[in-house]
Amino acid sequence: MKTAYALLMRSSFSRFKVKRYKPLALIGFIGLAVIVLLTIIGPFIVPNDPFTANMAERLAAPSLSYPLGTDHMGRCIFSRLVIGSQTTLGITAIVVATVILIGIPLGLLSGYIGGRFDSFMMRMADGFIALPEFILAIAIAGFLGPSLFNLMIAVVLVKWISYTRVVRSIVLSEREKEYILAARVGGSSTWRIITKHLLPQVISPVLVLATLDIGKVILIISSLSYLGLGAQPPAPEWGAMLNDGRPYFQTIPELMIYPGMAIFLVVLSCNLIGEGLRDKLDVKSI
Amino acid sequence: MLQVKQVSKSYQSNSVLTDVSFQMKQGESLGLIGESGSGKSTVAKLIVGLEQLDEGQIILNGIDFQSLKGSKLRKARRHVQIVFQDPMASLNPKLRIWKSIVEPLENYPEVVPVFLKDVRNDGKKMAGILLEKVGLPISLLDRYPHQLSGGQLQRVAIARGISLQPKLLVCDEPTSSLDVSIQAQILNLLGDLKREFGMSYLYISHDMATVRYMCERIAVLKEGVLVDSFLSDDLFSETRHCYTKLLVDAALEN
Repeated sequence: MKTAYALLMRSSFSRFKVKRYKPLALIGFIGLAVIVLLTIIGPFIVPNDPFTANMAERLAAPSLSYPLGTDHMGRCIFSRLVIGSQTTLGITAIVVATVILIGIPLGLLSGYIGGRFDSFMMRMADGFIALPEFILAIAIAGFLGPSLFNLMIAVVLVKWISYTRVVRSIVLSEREKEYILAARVGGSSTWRIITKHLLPQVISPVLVLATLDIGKVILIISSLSYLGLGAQPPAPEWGAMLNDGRPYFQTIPELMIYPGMAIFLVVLSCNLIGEGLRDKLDVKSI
Repeated sequence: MLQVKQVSKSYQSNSVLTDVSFQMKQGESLGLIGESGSGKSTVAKLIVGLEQLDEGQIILNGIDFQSLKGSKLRKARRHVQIVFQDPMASLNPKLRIWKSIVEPLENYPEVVPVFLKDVRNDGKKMAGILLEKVGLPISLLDRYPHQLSGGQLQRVAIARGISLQPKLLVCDEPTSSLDVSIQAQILNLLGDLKREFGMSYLYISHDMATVRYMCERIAVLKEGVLVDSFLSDDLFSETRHCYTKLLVDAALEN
């Protein structure tokens, strides 16, 4: 009896540990917090102006005045990395927020109202989904012309679909549940049902989807900037910095490794947080 | 009070209801029985307006629902409310209990039930009074549905159902997902509320015994057709339809 009790306690305790304590999500959260903090206080701590070219010091090795050395124009890599995160993270935040603000209402309406509006939205989504999102983003950004704003439009255009579809699928399964029917019988308007009953059901899945997506958005933004479709020189942006370092890849690989590591760390942190959130909020559909 | 006239309904090519007609008087309860898939729940959904009928008329208090639109339809609808089978699914899991209960009252600010008239602007107090009416402690007001038992949730659903003092409460198998002891409590509660408010029930079930206990009259649905309709006391009469007799025999065997 006693052993059984001890076993039970131990197993429930270990389950408690596994379920509640998420070291990976915590690491991701700390990593992202540090990066965001660096982004915010960046302008006050950078040792050099990220735009000032100093041809005498080009491609310098790390030193006290240039913690990570300089690039092909003699600009401080560390300063460019820190200031560049403003562009990368800022644009990502704007894009993800915009995508959520577009995706949730369209998904709610599409799922709840249905009919022609739903068919129209879904055929449009099929059209967007037929092409790989990265290729499509390149096409749209290329069509609109290289600039940060057009880059944002391109990423939003390829990303809203998955949010709309996730929200719509949740709404489709919820709308036939009895609590929605009871609300309808109780005289609730369509607006009230959508905002009060359906919206709360989609928020946590969308939150998880968004955190897992931040990494992908950063990758797309950096990739497009690398291709010259996003941030324009001399603006510091991680993807663009990768591109700047490309000619020196064999002699000074650090020029690409530093911005690459920055992208890698942010993407990793976001994915760790997203997976932690997914388990915590018990979202199974994503 | 309620007249259902030659109602037919089909989904795509499947005919669910054919030519169903019945009437209910004020204060009188009608039990609707039939096996699974006989169209009982469709009748319920048609009467509360969750589905559109293909043919026929549903008239409540002399008003034909099909002829109304917009705000007039909304006004007419409040006289019919519904309690569903699965109490867990019939309350929004993300809303506190009291918010679910007062939702109909918020939708119809012009409706002032007698027992709520002193607190009409205070949602939580109204919910508290309604909770007491269904025999639950006020301490449950701020809970979420997952913190309550099935029987308690069904009482909450009933509290929401009676909040607008409807003339007709449609009960779609309200006890069939509950334990036997809880079933009896819910049936007693429904009986008490009927006496207090003079409501009618359209009580849908496949359980002969509860229907006979709850209702003055019984109607039997078979494959979308109303095959028999009679007073509860005449259940064992020789003049019953053979299908009714079959159901009675099956119930007695259990």
